[in-house]
Amino acid sequence: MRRKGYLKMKNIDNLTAARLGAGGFAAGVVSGIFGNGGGVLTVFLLGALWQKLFKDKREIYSNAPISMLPIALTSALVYSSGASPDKASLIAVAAASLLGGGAGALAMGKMKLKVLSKIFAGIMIVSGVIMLLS
Amino acid sequence: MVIVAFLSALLAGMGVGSAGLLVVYLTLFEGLPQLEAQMINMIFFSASAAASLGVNLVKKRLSLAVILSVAVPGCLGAAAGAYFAHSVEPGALGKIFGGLMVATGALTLFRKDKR
Repeated sequence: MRRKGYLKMKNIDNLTAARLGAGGFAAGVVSGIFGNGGGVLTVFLLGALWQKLFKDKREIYSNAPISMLPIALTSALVYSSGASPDKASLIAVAAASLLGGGAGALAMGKMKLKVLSKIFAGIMIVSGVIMLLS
Repeated sequence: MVIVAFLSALLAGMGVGSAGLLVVYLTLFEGLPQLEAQMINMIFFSASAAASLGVNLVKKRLSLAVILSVAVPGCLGAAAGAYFAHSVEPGALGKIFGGLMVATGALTLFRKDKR
C-alpha cells in the first residue's frame, strides 16, 4: 500500500470500485430523500468490502463519514432552495457538532467495535419508533 | 438543540452515526418542517465529519481511493434524492424515515459478524 502524505493511496480493483460507486450512489439517494441514513449504508458498504480496502476493520468508521461529507453538503445545498432556517441556530449547531465530532474521533480508538455497533443499532431503533409514532 | 447536536456529533465522530437523532428532535420538539430539519441535519453532519477529518488524517486512517469512489457517485445520488424529496408529502416522508431507521437498526443489532 503506497502512502502519500496523510492519505493512503491503495489501488483498488475495478470491480470493487464499481461496487463502491453503486453503493455510494444508493447512499446518496437515501441521504438526499431522508436527510439521514446514507452514513449507515456507507458503513454497511465499506463493511462488506473492508478486507479489500483496509488493514484494520476500524478504518470503516473513519472513512465512512468522510466519504459522506460531500454527499451531505450536496443534499443540504438542494434542500436550501426551499428552506430559510435561523442562521444563529445553524451556527450554534455547526459549532456544537464540530466540537462533538472532534471529540468523537479522538474517542474512537478507545472503544470496542462491537460496543460501537450495538450503540448505533439501539439508537436507530429508538429514534425510528419515535418517528413512526409521532 | 445545541446539546443534542453535540451528543449526536460525538457519536458521528466515533463513526457510529447520529442515527437521525437531530432530525427527530427538530421535528418533534422544535416543530420544524421535515425538509428543513433534514437540511440542518446535513449541515450538522458535515461539520462533525469535517471535525473528525483532521484527527483521521493525522492518524492516517483515510483512503483517498475509497473516499472518491463513494463520494463522487454519492453526490449525484444525493442531488437526485433531494429533488425527489421536495415532491413527497412531509408527513409521509417522516413515517417512511422512521420505518427505515427501525429496519436498519434491527439489521445492525442482529447481524452476525463474518469471520
